[in-house]
Amino acid sequence: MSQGTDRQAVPAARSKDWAGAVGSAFFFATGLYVFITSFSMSPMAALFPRTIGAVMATFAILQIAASLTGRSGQAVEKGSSVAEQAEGLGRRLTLLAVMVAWALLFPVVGMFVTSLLASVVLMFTGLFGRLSPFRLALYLAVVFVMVVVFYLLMSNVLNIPMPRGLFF
Amino acid sequence: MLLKKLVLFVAAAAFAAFSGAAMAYPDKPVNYIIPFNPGGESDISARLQAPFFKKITGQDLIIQYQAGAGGAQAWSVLNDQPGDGYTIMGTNLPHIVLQPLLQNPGYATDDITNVHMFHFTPDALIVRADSEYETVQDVIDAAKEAPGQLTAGGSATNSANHIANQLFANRTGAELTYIPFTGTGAVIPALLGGEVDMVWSYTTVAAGQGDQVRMLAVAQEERHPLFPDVPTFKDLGIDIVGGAYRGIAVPESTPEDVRKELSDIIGQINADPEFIKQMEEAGFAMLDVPYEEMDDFMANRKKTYEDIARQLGAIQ
Amino acid sequence: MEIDFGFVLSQALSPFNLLLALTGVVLGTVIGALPGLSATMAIAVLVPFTFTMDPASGLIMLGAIYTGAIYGGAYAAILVNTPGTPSAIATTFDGYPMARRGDGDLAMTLATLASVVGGVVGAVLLMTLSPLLAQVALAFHSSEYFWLAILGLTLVASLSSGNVLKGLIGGAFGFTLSMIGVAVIGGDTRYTFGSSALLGGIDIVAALIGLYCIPVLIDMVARPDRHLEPAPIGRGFRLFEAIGLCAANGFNLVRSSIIGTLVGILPGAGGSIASLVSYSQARQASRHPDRFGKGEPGGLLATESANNATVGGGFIPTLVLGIPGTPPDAVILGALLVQGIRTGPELFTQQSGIVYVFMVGLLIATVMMLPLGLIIGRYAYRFIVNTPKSLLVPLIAFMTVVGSFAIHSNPHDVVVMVSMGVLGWLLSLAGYGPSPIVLGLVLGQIAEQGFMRAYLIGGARGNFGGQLLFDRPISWAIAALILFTLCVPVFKHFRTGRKKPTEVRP
Repeated sequence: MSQGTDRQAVPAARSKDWAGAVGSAFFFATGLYVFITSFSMSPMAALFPRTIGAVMATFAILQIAASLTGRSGQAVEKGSSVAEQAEGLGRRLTLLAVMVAWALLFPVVGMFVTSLLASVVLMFTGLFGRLSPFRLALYLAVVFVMVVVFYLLMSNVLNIPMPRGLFF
Repeated sequence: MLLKKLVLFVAAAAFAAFSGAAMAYPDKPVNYIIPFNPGGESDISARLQAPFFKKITGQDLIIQYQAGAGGAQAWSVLNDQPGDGYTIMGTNLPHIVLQPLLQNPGYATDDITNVHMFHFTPDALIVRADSEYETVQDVIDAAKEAPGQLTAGGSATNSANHIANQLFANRTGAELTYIPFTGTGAVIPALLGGEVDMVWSYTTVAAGQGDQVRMLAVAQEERHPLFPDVPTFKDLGIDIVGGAYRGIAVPESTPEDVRKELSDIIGQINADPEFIKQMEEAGFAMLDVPYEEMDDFMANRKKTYEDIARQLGAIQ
Repeated sequence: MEIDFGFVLSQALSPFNLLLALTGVVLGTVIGALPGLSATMAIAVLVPFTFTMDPASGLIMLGAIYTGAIYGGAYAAILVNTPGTPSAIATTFDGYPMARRGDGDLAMTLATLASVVGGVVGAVLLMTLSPLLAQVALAFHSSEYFWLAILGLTLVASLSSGNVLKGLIGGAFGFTLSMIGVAVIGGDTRYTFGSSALLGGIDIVAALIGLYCIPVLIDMVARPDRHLEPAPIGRGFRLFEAIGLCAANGFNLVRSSIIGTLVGILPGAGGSIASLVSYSQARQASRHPDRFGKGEPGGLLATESANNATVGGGFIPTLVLGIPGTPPDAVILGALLVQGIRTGPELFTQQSGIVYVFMVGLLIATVMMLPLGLIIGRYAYRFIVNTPKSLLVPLIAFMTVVGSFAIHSNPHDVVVMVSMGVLGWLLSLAGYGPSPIVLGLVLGQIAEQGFMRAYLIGGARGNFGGQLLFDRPISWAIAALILFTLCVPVFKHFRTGRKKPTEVRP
């Protein structure tokens, strides 16, 4: 894992890892919170949170120090750099926004309608280059059929109670 | 002439359809939501009920699963379901009393409209077949000699099993250390493998394990037909009757006559000798609390569970 | 116990039962390939249909669905980096990198071969050594589960060889996530922030889908290039190449299959631990541990053979003791009960005919996976490679939403899935990978409950140390294995480090 994935330029060995420091600060805060709140629990339930919280906070402090002194080492696994993620940031954020809206709205609006709308938006998000009107119609039809098929599979074959919401 | 006939025909058909709808609930398949994973006892009893439901009403009982948070996930959305009698849900005691007492599960006990309680799995004190404890008295004696040194496994903290353990200590003075496991299934290997000395579980578990285990006593009014040789706690002078109760609930918007009708159907299933035979062979104990008697029954159970929960220190 | 083998074979090989096995494998594979849809769900849906068949036929169909579904989990793991079941977590480590670089066809064939080998080993052990092996389920107490979970967690160290500190922090964070909800021991409500939806905790499958799949989707929409590198035309199944790799990994396959069977027997463990432990052992035994995680066929073979071996392993306590080894086993056991068949120890002695017909049927279904899997796998791979991105993105996104909803018919699980996805993406920017978090989440509760129960029981008996480790020979063995797993890389590191000093970091 030491070289990361393709494309990724090996960072200069001693450059400061600001992103790593910010991430570690998040873990430090979480660890501290877990540690402190464990004192209001029953002894049986408190042992592990206390230990894990302390370990996480301590390691996070060490990692912050390592990141700020440029001794951070490489990313774990297929982690990618901030610079790499800047490519196509608009599309990335669109996808995230659609997913969040989808998750929050489908119980209210209904699974079918939400999914159809979200799928169409995502179809355009994943579209690079132009489509002929015929192809566009074809793609929309495919998306529609896909949503219908999986909806029916879930609700009628697997007996999963799909939320119907305002529409269905 | 033709027109007149047609009008008559349509009117007759409409009348038939209308009166049919008013008279015969159910006239389409009923969705039965089980708030637990498939394979559990709630699932098994629902599957046993389904063919009898079909026999009596001619309609299918479609079993769906909505597991999560020990059932709370499903119960907290029960009243959001359409109240037409075609969405019904399994309910369990003591769960629906204890959960709102101990946590904030997103529903209150009184939010749940129980229409019929149809069986329960009686608490049972079970040991390995080769255990040195032959009777409940052996356990009491050993526990009094070394308080807290005997271990009794059970499913989860503040559960039906935990309550049974506490009741047992209250009634007999025998202190057992309660060891919580994740679910009824996980307790069995711990018992058979000797990790715990005994377990608090149900008659269904003893029925499934055959002669690998020995049941010392059951918490029923009368002995279970499948285990005529096993005494009840009452036989032994220990006043414990209880277990996990199962029933059916409907959304609160469901009209009174549908609730009543549903309760009658469940009552009819419960009275079928073939059904009783199947249930008792699996270790269930029959129970019949119809809709009219539900309020008294629930008030009684609530009182019992609240007292114990207070004693376990779970509520003040 | 006399068994009439002629009768058993004629039953298991009847055309109707063969057809059921075929149907079951295909259905199971498709359902398993869709993230969120599990073997448990597939079996529960089909149980009512089996009531119309005789019990042995019904069992064969359910067993075939089960084994197909576990195998199908590899598809989503290899093709879209999404473990649809916890069993397939480790399949993503090497399967997805292989698919990305254009070896997807080879990866699918390898997964099929490994699943068949693992499934056959599990089924054969089920047929031959069941009564003996069932004792393993009873010999494992809470302390052993604790040590087993720790053994699985050692993988954090080897997965994060680029930065062990970040890996450990990620593991601790996953552990914290596993504590959310009502504590089984103690009964406290932990870290739910007053939300009743969190009382049941974070669903592992929803978290898996979010952590692994959302970042893939994000990358897919960002760049116009293909999702997977297409394989050159005319390479076929690459079956002989795959068989060659299997032969070279023969010992790895056998070891992983046996680990899978043994872990499958343990009712509290399951496919996730089986595949993680065998992955970590395969990596450690390999001559090229540094290739693991970058598309090493040995890693893929280890996880896929181990998780299919858990199917046969799980049936051992189910059939011998009446204790379901895995959640799907519990549903099958329930189905038997509804059919009026007494389960538990009596099943083997009084219904041995049915039991043996079922075992042979399971073996046949597993073998059928080979041709069926090769064909379905090839089409699945081609489908993912050839579908335009603008259709693939909504398809996968819809699967993640509807799949995480389907787990418990719970809208909240979808929110968890998306939140974990966003969190996983943000953390990857800071150099924190998803796998240590996932390991902590999957193994956290097993470790905590195992330890706390040993503590409670040891406390009651006045001997905590003995209960946790000293009086428990199996715990010694696992603890020794943990030490070995942790020390060998350090040792190797220093050896290779001297040869190649540039690899050593400050």
